[in-house]
Amino acid sequence: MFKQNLHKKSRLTNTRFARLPARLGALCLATLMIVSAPSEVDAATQGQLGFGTSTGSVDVDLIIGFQARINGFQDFALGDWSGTGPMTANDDICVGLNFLPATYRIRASGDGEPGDPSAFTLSNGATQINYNVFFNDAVGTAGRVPLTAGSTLTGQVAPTPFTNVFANPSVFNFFFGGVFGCAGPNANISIEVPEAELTGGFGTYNGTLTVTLLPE
Amino acid sequence: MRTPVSFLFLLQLAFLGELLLSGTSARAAEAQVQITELSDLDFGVVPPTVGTLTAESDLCVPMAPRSRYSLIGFGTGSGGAFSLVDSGNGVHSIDYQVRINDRGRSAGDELFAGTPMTGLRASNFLPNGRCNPRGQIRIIIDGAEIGSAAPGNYNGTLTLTVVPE
Repeated sequence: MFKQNLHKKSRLTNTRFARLPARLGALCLATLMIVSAPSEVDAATQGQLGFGTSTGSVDVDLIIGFQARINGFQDFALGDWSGTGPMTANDDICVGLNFLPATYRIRASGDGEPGDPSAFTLSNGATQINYNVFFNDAVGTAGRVPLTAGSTLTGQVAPTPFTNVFANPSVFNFFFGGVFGCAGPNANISIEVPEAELTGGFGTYNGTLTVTLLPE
Repeated sequence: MRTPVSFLFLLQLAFLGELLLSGTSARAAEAQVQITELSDLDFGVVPPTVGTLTAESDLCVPMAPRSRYSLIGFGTGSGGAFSLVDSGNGVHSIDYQVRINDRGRSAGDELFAGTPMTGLRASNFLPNGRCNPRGQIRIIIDGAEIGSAAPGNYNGTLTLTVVPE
């Protein structure tokens, strides 16, 4: 999540009173002067009138906010269970942070179950089964660590540039949620449905896994 | 009503005579000059993907007698470089470009820190304390600079000095 504010100074220019009656023109001019008054307290330093030289200065300010983005997710379609062994899937994703050191935290939650609103569960509408979730701060599953539903995994590192989460960067896309790509995957999310859970009953099971990226 | 041609001719002769009689150094020593109409430039809060940023301030340099002037600029970066420094840690910085136009609002020419820009045209003092015509200072921060910068509050001061030529 991020906040952004673009501040622009407005300026009154090219005001014309040519077609206004004289009194109205004077009234408008007075109003204009009042409205313009704040610009007179501008912190810019105007140069002194003098012989030889004159020096003035302008302050320049820019704030770059903290930003984080996680993207590149694809749905896990596990398909039909063969009748033996667990079912697994994994997805390389992009984590982008615009600061260094780019350490972050990950928190994940599933659809929940009675007593645990964050539990990693799939449901066929009548029966729920549990699954496991793993996170890796590198591509692939080697070195992954299990996530606890609703808890925060700390100490993750994103070594690649923030711009890896903007495969199609543009100002329009940024503000209005256009096409974002995962240009350089640097993390992996994986799931496993244990064999013991798969013997619960027939049906099509589905659920939603929500992953939250938190700067550290 | 048309001005008689002979009067214009005499006026041109007088102006030309003044140019021929006035030495450059003498004019510079006598010139009264001021840099004014400057405004602070606040880009506000931007995302790192905002791209290249541009902001302008008016610039007006009235001079009497009106002539040409040189302008030299320094930033608050190392050695007077045009750069903004993160006020939070004093280390991270973002470079910016300065372009000067002594008339109107076209792109202007790049001003390099510590290097005088010469031959700029001065303006007139007006009775109301303003001056005309105005020029423009344009500050450009490259999108790549912003995209690779750490989050922070970046500040800097651009100091400009004008010298009659």
